[in-house]
Amino acid sequence: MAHEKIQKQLSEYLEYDLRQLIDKRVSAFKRQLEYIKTKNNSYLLKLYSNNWNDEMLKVVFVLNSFYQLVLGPLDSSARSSTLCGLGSDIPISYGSSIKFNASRSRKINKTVESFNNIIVKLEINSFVMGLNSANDIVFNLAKDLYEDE
Amino acid sequence: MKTSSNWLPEVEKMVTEFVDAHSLVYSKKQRELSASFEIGCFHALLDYYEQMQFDISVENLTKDGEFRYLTSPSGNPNNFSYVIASIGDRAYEIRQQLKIYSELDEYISFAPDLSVVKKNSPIEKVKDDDYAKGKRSFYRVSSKDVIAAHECKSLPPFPELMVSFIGMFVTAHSWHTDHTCGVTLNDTGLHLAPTMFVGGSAQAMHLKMISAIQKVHPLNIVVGMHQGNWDLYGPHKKLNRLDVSGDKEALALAEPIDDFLSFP
Repeated sequence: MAHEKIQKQLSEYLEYDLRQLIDKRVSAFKRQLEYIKTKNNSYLLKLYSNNWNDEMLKVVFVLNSFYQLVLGPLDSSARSSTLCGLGSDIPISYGSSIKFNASRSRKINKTVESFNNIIVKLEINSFVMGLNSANDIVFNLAKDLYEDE
Repeated sequence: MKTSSNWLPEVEKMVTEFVDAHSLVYSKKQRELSASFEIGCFHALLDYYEQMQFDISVENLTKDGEFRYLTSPSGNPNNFSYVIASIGDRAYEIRQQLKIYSELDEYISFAPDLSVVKKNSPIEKVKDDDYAKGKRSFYRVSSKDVIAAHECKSLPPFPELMVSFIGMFVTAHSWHTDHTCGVTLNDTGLHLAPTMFVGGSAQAMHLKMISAIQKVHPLNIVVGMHQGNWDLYGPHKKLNRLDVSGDKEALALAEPIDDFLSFP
């Protein structure tokens, strides 16, 4: 299955606990999808009639989970909007091994940009990456289709 | 929309390229991920104070010029860096992991992720037989000196999480019941009211709950931080703010004299 392969790839270098968290989140989304399917959900039917299928939705669940649990938190620290230069000109040392500085922020920004490019190329609304239920994801993907009509 | 016959191979190819190029950057330990979120919230809070015209300075840097972030309430805050936010002759400290005890009972205490306290608030050094067998001290400040305690949660919001923040709010802020503290809820106040920063976005029902909590308690719950909801400033945010008695006078006195002398 494509979504399982993608999940494995994205999780490959992560800590076991984090891999488990991603797995739990994706599994919950999949269970919710199965439930929605029993309800003749009009938004889901709209997606199916526009060439979406379950496997594609599951890929979106994997990308969403990776973003929410890994990239989102990392991206948080890489914004350097403060005038005082904390985290960029003035590095932050967090414990003995973690350092937040300009070089780290640059690398993270580049990584997040690459990920966002994937989302754009897949024609998924980036808002979907922040949602927390399969129901909301289905609704927002379908909403885009209605708006395109 | 593309069909699955080309969409799926395309996403597989792009993810493979992404992993090859960036796995070293994103393969962090969970501790580092939650630290990253906390640092992001810290930046957002400093950004807010800068927008509110406070002067921001960093204090107690290491000899290498680094900001030494306190990561655990067991550390002595005096050995770590912190931020001073000042406006005119008024100044506040923005600190991390500062243990706060409630004036209602000193045994009710906890360490919020970020705290704004009056400058030079006494940091008490305390020994207790039930802490490290009485061999080590811990450090704490009184809830009387706290303007706002903020909490960072890199999670999706859920009702129990949101309600638990009300308990933190009651514990950490004496001004909640003691009106002699001079801290009041005020739309034009300069301080952000106690805020819980939440990484995930909220569903519609949760948004209604947040709105209700913010209506009945002088606190904020900001969701969707992972989606870039970092701007805490501006009227569109409709966040609760606090006025500390004397701040606005200090702001008026701090404004350049030219402002008073200029005529339309």
